[in-house]
Amino acid sequence: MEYLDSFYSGLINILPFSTQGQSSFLFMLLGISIGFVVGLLPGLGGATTLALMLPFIYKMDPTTAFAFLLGSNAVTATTGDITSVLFGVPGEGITAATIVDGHPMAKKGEAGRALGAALMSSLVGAVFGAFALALAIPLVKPLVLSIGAAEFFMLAIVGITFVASLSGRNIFKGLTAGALGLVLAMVGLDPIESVPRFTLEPILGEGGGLFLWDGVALVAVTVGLFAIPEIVDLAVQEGAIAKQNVGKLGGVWQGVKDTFIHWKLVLRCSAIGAYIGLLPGLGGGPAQWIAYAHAVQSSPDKERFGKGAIEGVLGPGAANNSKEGGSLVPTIAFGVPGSVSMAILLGAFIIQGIVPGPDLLDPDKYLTLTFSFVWIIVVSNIITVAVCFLFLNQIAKITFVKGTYLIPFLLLLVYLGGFAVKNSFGDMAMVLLFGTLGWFMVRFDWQRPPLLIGLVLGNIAESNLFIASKIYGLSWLIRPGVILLFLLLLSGILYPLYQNYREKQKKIAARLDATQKPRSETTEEIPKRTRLYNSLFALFFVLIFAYVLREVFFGFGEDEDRAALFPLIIGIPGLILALSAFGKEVFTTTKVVTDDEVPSWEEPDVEPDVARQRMISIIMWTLGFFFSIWFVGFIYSSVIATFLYLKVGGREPWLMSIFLTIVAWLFFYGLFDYMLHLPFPDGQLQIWLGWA
Amino acid sequence: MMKRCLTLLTLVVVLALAAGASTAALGEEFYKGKTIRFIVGFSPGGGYDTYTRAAARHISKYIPGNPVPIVQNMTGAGSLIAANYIAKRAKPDGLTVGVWNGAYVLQQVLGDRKVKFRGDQIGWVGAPVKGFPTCAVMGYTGLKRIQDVMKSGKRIKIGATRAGGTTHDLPVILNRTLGTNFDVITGYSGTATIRIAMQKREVDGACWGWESMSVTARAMLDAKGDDRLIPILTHDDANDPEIKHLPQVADLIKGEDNLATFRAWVAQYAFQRPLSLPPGTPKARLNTLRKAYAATLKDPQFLAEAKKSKLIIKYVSGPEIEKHVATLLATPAKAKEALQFLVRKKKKKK
Repeated sequence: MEYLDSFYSGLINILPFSTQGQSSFLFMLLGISIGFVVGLLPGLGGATTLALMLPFIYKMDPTTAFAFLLGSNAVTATTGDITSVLFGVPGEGITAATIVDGHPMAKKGEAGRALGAALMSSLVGAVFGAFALALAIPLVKPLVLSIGAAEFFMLAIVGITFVASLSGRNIFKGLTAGALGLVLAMVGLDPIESVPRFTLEPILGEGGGLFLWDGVALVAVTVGLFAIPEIVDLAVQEGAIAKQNVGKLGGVWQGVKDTFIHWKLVLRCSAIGAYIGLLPGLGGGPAQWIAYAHAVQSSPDKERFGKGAIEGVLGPGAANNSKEGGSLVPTIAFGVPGSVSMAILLGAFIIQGIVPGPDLLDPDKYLTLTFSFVWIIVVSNIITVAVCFLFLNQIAKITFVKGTYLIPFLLLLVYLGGFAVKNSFGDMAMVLLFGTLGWFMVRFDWQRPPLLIGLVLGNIAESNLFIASKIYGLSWLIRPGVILLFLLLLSGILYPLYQNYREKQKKIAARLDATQKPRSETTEEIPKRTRLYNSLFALFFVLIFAYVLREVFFGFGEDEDRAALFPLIIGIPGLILALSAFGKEVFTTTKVVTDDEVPSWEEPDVEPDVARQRMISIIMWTLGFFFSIWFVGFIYSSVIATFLYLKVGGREPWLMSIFLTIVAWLFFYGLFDYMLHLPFPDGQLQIWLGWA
Repeated sequence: MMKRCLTLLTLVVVLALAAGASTAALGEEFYKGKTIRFIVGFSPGGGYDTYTRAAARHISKYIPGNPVPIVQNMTGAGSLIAANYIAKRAKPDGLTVGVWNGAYVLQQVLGDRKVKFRGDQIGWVGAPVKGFPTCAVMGYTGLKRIQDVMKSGKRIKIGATRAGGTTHDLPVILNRTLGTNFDVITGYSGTATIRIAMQKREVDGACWGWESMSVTARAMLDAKGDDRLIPILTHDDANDPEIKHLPQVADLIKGEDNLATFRAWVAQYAFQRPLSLPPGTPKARLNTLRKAYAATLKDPQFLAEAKKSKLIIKYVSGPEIEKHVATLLATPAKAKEALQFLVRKKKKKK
């Protein structure tokens, strides 16, 4: 009964019907507006913003303080999805998975539908996560402590395999990309003895080598991998992001309906998000990808994914919000923050003089406050989603805006996203590098998500494998949790195979059934040149794994057995997988084309010559923006590079070029520099001239 | 002639003073509208992070120009990444302040090639606290005192990050000098994850600074029975009744060489969680930050907060740290040799 009383008072304390509630509600609204903008902009992370908000809470009572902070933090994942869907640029690191299917939907002219689905599933996810938090409170301990180092390792492997096995026709490519992700995670100092690995010091010199000591930054890779290919594509195709107008079907309400049509999936993905959220140490990244993998795996028709399948938006949309409630659990119960944002919230607890732990679960002390957390997450998401829906059809129209107008903004934001990681140009270069890789991967039909999940989970897998084997020896292999996860892993691989088999049986049955119109299946020869390029790109992966093994046997591994162990464990299967993928590219001479293949959107035919010209042009501009930012800094670039692109590159009229340039300047100077004090570096020119 | 010389001298002095004054004025201008970044080498929620965020919240008002403070975590390899970043890569402009394990000063002395700097190259701003390295074990082990641990034939697993951090080095040192039999499990990302591991009973205990343990492990220290975290031995006087009764490591160690080894190792704890500036930072800015930091640690609001959150404050000034570092750099050869096991050796000859 006490429990229910607290639950009720927790809500009353944040609604504007009492004096206490009024102040909470007001500051929650303020927090929400901040989180709203932060979520939308790729350059700004939720955690940094929280850190900046922290000093304002001294004079607040606990409920108001958390309404302010948590309100802000709870909505970043929701509005981050919007940027991901519209531009293919992740608004937040935790909303990258929404791009994979959300952005293709925008291209099909279904931006409204994708946004509707993303927002609605976010809301469901947030509410689910919040109530999971409420329910978890009595049994929080066993839940958090349910999983040890051995299980963490298995969980990481299951996550990677699930995502990697999604790659439809060519599982070798998917697994190879996953292994490459793991290798990228090994770059830098190893997590146990801090031996530098794969820091390329002989090539990059000491400075570059030291830069890589920090490892490869996830945000830079994500932004590069997904955003750069989209920008190139947008320029080559010309026109707007949306290639066709599908009218009502693309509307917001359709997306809302989709959420409820697939309600089971949305709930399952919310559960995945909440559980992963409450495991301290996994952070915000994996939840969205594992949810995405689940969405693909539970669908009978995997071919649709990556081309704008609504389930691919609903899954991660729900999970990246439900994890918020989940990740509050270890913070509240143990004072162990699951993510950076939670660590800052922990600072807020300390300021408020609250010791995380049993006090927060005690009805005589802070239980009411704990339940207020639940309600803050729920209410702030309801408000955000409601506000979004008011404007959503308008927001979606941006996908019908001419691409030329958007490209300078996108390029600046993409580079800003990379720069903001560590405020360094190195990560901007990473964006460019992984942009190139991403573009090739799209072109040669390699899946990008496995690479990302490998990068996210690599370190977790390595250090937990080490801890588990140190503590349990080999006996960690027979822990019940490990066996359970292993069975899950097997089912994850076998179930799709079984599904394929059944589909084939169906096809045969259909063929025997003479009344049904036979599917026309034609074999088409792959042009020699395409095969050559395909094979060359696969060879690139082979070379990378060969290099990894070279380092293991003749490089740092000569002196450092421990640090070389994980690279060896990953390098050998990686090499075998890459060779298999390579072999498949070399020896596959024909492909089967079926009529009933999922129709992708009509790509307007661009003459090959024109396409090549535009491609060279956009690549030059992409490099040009990079150079410009390095040379004169972000603020001047927002003026100079934007204007040059519009006037010279886009041949836009003077008035339009000047107008958009002013908008860009206001945006970058006014918002990032003047209002937010983002530490923009001075350009080289200013340094040479001594203005800096 | 004499007079002219004197006039000239006066002129020079006046000019120099004027230049100095204008530099000071420039210093004031310098921080205006800028962001000052605190790079913490450990994961959020641990002791380094807690202390730094607390000070960062208040330091701005004591720096002329009131820059915006931002705390960033650059985790990895027991904060060596952050340490080398500060020493090698951060701009020496007084806008980047590093907070990392001062143990790397000793590591470098012992010849660890991965530490890319000498302790006397760093600009030491000050430290909030001295270190009170303390070991604690979980209640379920049935061990209540260090004597129990020494007598126990059981395998006692101690959670740790990596060589060079207190969590790893102290139990190893105790194994060498005191004769304990700790099994040190490395690879955890910070004390936050070690705390969870202890509650999972994945490891049985851990060693780290009381100044952090008393805050971040509060709930565990207050728990009852099997779930209670019990401190069993400590170093230096934290002036805290909670651990006042505990045996001191230095009192327990037998043998002169063992003691000398321990003392050389423990010297670094005279300045803990220090704030550092990259080599070559202008002296004026170092002084500005030293003054600001000293004032911050006396700030009533800061102290109130520190008290609220049970942060122990024992201010150590920049010049004092410089002295300690100089002593560390002069560690006698014998102690150096005895501590060589802290530095990884090449296993194979090339």
